[in-house]
Amino acid sequence: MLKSRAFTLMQESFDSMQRSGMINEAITVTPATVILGTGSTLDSLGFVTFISDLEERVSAATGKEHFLVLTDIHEANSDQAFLSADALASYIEQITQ
Amino acid sequence: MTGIAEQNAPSEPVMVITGTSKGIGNGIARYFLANGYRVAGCSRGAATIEHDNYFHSPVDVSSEEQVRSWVRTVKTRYKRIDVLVCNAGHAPANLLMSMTSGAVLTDLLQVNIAGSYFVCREVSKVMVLQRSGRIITTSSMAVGLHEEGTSAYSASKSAIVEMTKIMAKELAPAGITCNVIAPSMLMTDAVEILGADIIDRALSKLTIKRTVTLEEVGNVIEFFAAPRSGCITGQVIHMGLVC
Repeated sequence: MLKSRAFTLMQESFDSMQRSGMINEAITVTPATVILGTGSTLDSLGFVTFISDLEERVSAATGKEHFLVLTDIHEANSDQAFLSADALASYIEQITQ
Repeated sequence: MTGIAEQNAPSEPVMVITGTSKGIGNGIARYFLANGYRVAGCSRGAATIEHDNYFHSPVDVSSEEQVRSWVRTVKTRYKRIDVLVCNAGHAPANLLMSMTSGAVLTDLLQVNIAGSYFVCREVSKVMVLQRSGRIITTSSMAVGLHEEGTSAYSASKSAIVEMTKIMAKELAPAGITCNVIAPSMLMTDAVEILGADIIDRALSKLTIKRTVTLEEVGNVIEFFAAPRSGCITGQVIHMGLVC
């Protein structure tokens, strides 16, 4: 999966969360959007919701089971104190290759 | 929530139960199948229940990968999970701590704690997306009795209680309740082979000195699972024992 597709799926997840009232304001995904850490608009449960929803979207889009494993994401992004949309998209690109 | 697939979900409530091949898990599965649930069960071996509304998967709950894949399969099949009964666990013969091997301890920690942890974690992710769910974990009368010879087993079952209480706090904002059932002695094959002397000795230490029935265990689970129990969370119901 290309990173651009991963960004689209992230946007769909955020849009879905906003429609269902889980987040108050719309989030526009850019590579710099902070998903987890200082600057993120998601609380801890919002983060879990986002990752769980995104995991399903990635699996549905590829037709294969994929799991977004937080420790693996962290290892792939260990030089940053936060998780950006760009880093998450890179991780998704990597696991879906 | 959410975007991917709430369509074609069954009208009956969906219950996931671990350890359904025998014992309490098997009895609970049959109880809730008879009460109109769809049940997705698992055990390390083949199914021992045949029912139109029963779906079995061979799963080792101590395997993180197998649990992940199983819960995804259940979600795909039923679209949602209403109730989880986390029952699978090992209960070895009583051994004094000085005689308990590292292998026994490791097995108990891996199956009873890690297994419950993995299952609760994966199912809770499904429930978080639904913004509803009931998680019921299984402890034991051994925790309340502080019985000699159960240091490893009781430690694992105490951990289940603590895990569930923390989970209850973490998941409350998502409308998910988490509670513990701690049955006393239920006459299963595994208990019967202990013999009358051991069974009588265990029963004598209980407040209510008799075995519990599957119907009584089912009743407690029904209470936790009921829509009107939405504000009951982080609680432990000890059966037959004052704690």
